Amino acid sequence: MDKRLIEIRTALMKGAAPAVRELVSACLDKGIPPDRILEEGMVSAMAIIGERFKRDEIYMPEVMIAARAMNAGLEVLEPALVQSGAKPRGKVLLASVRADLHDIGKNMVAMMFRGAGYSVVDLGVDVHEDLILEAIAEHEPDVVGLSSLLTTTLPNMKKTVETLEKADLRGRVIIMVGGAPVTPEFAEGIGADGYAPDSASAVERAAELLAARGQGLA
Amino acid sequence: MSPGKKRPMTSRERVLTALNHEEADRVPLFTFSMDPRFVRAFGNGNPARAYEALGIDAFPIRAQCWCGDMPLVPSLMNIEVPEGYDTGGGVFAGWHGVDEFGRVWEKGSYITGALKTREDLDRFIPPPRLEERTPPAAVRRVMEKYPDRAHVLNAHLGPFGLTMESMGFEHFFYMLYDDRELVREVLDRRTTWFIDLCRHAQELGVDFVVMGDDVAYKGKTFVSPEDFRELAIPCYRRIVEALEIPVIWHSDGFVEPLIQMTLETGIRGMHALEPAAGNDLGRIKERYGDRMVLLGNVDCVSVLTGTDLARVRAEVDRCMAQAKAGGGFMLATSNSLHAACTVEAVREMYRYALEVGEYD
Repeated sequence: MDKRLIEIRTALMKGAAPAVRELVSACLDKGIPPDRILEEGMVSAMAIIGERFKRDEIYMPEVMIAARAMNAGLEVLEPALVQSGAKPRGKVLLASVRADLHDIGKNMVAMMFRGAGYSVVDLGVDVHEDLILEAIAEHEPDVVGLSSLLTTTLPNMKKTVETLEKADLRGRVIIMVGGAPVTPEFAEGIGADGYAPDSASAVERAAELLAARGQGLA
Repeated sequence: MSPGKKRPMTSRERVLTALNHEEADRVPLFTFSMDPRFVRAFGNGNPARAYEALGIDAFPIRAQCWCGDMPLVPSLMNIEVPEGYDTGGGVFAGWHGVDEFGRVWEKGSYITGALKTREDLDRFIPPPRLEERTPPAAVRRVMEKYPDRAHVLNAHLGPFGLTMESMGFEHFFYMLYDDRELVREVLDRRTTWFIDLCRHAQELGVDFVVMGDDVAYKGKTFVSPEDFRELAIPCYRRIVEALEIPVIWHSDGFVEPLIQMTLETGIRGMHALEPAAGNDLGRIKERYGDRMVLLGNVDCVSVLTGTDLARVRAEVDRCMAQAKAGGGFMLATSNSLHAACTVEAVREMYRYALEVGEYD
């Protein structure tokens, strides 16, 4: 791998946002294709971060600063990516369900998806199921991720899945759920396509589900 | 009393015996806080009656907090209870805006933190207001009215969790790398504040303190055990050393990796021990049960939110089988009596625990 891409990867894993920004800019100046910078320098770094997080070698602060460095690099890289016609791996729409005002778990998931090269539409917190329907029509995501921190909002997660089913979106989008009170049994019970216990696993599970449908890159 | 059975104890004796790692007459019953719906269901609106009806051995003493002018559990302020008494300070209904610690609330839910820089420190380390937070006359009236109960300061105001919440989780995590000294300063001042709160309660006669300090979530701690040891453990040590009464630590989430280092500070016990987060009560009892008092573990995510009473009894049986022997265990839910628990399940949990909790 190009030495400069390795430097980006190393800086990103350390959470050195200014360094990542400068290195990405330097790579673009040297004519390195933006999709290579993204995949080999940045996405590969976030993949390692995700693995280390799952193995309990690092924790949320380390993921957050790496994701912040990723975003710093993306700010510089995105115009070049758009110009080159590079496509994201898939589009993910995220929301904390109605009456749930918590977002740190969802934000972690968003960072991990962005870090893996997905385009993310984050609808925020306390999102009514009807708004999610409208957003699906507008953004046409491949995956819808629903988050809930409170036991009391689990019924709203169920209601949202039912609403998507009624709208005949089953099969058109993959519905994933997660959050502190969500269990695999609950996810299956409400008819979600996928569940993940943490943000890194969410990206892997989404890739598996997309690959099973013949979409995206596993 | 049948031969071999222990003589019936008062609630206070029962709790103090468990805190001393000995078997009482039965396993003491506890809750960290109680949603108002259970106060209405079991106490006809009176918290003390609800605690009595469920057989809970430790009565909570208030540590009042404010968001603007609004105190905790405002819905319970107008009912006929001993003045200054509430359900333990776990209910934030109606809070909207920035509270005195810098936590930002919307419709009773925590959103983020407003403490971002050193300049915010003085604003969000509130004055002690001890006489208002824990009014002596009211506390004494409660203690005189219920002298046989243990009295506990249930204060979800521990230094580490409150520092994270008041800074906002994301900002706190960034500051661990960008300005660790600021994190230390906030922790240090929150610890001093918490010690003042606990000393005041100790002078009023509470038997022990439960320090609510959430540091973990499902399957994992927020920060690495190394960071926890460096940042939180000195705070816990200061708190324990400043008090003469036992300190129990409450945290949500998976706390097993932190138990050993917490023990070293002199923390007497741990509360909540959420099974859904990955905590294994049997394993914790085996490793730490002779040194750490264990409270909680009855699943309030799936079991107590349903109405399958056989499942509730099986859950109580599991907890008793894993932690009852040798004492040092108080049965409670794995968090609190929160709004999503059902009345039937909560009633059955405490009723059945009284039935099967006796020591031979």
